Amino acid sequence: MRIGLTTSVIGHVLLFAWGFASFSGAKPFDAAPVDALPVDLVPISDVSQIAEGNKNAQKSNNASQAKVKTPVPRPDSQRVGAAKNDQSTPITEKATDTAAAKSAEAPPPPPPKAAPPKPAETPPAEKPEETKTAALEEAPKADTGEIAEKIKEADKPAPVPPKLPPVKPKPPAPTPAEDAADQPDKTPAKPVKEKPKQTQKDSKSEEFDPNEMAALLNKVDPSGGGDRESDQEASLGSENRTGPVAEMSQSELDALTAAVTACFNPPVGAEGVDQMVVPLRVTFTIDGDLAGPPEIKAIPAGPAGQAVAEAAVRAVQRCAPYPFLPKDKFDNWQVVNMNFTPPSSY
Amino acid sequence: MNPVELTQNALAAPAVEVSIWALFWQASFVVKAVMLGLLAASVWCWAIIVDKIVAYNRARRSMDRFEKVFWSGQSLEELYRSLTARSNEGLAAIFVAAMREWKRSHEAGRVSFQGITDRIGKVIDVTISREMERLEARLIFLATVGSAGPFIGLFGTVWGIMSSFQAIATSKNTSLVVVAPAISEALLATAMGLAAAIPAVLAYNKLSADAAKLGSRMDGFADEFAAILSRQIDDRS
Repeated sequence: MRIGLTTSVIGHVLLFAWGFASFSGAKPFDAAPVDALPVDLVPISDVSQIAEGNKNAQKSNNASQAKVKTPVPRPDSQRVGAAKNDQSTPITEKATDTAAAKSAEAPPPPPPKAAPPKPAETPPAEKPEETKTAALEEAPKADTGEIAEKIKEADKPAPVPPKLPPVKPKPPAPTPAEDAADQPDKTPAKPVKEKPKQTQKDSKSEEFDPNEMAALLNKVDPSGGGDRESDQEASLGSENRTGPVAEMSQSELDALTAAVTACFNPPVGAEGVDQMVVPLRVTFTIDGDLAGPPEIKAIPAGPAGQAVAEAAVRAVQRCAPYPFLPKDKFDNWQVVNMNFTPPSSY
Repeated sequence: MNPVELTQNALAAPAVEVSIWALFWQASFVVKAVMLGLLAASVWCWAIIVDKIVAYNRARRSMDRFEKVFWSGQSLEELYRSLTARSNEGLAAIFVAAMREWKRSHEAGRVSFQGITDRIGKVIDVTISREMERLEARLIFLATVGSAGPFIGLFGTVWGIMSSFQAIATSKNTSLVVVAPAISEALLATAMGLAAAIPAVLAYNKLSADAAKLGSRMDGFADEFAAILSRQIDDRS
């Protein structure tokens, strides 16, 4: 028995010695550090609400399409997408006439320069035509004189530009004649505004031209039609702007509330401030500034109600420019009805 | 005290020691007692196992040697005389017991053949049972440890986990760092119970089979020797 006991004790001691040596410390797991993932809480309405688009467009399973920031619309366009009839403003072809009428106003400064060479080269009757074309193509430019000359040279082989109806040059014809007579004497600035009237009067008095009539009646600014808003396919949605296409996200509203709350100073001695709710109606400008003083819709109950309501108005005014409000959602926050809750920490 | 320092101290993970000795030392009193008991049981089990293996080998060798001598044609009287001088075990003990009974029947010149076969048979049976008792002694301890060891270890584990949950409830912190050492410590008790029980069960099965084999061998020799003595009695009567 002694042999067995001795052997057993020695064996156990050896086993425990080995155990202490090898299990002295557990090997820690390798846990790779995970980067923090920023999470923004987005209201479900951004996804679930009908987006503006085309009813016949193909459905794309892109959940983010409603959240995509729509590009700022190009001027003179309304529809989203690359529809061919994007242009909401009709193309006014005759608008060239009104443009011409305008250009007749605009060019007057040059005539003094242009006048002297004209008699030598061309008869005065043709001259308005050239100025017109010059004005048509280079309307914004002030010094049409040089360009007019260039165009003149270019036009000479084919004196009548294709776009203009051949009838038109006639009615204005007298005016240049008058101009040519007057201009050497008068200063260029004065006659500017009188001249168009004169031309109208003259044209009316001389003969009735339906084309001219149309040109005169068309008071709309010339436009080449609207541009496409974007080059992408129209997205599936309603063509009517029924629901709010873009609503302020919760975080933006929270940011506004937080900013106002930070500026709030509770009235001295007021009790029960943290239980009060002050409904305010705040009107903003697109810059995020206040369009007017905030309006208190209801004064909270209690003796301190009036004071707290005024303190809330002061808080809104004190923080006044709120530049973080997104400009593309201005429709949603132009008027904000906020229930201001004074912070409870006081 | 600096508040920042204070929070850092509070938030710092407790230093965890997971070595076997640390686990044992952190355990509660009951768990410690269970583990110590299981350790003692394991030591005693292995002592028995080693002892029995040695004893059975020796018994088998002595049986081989005795059978060789017994069947070598040597006079049984001489063999008896040489064997009575020392303590015997196994087949030698059976032979000596039977020869002693035979001798007593012939003592003082009286020859009583009546009932001698029965007496010799009884003496042989008693010797065999005594020998088997000696061979199988303490094997029952192995069986006990083998069946009860896991339960004892499990008791320690349950107790340890119970107390560690109480500690968690008091500390109001369920971080895994806080929970893990206590559970690890509690599981150590089950590990020790299994470590003691598994070799005990295996050894018990093997050793009891070996003992049964030795017992059947003794039975066989006893029958043969009884047959020889019975023939002698019949010749003399």
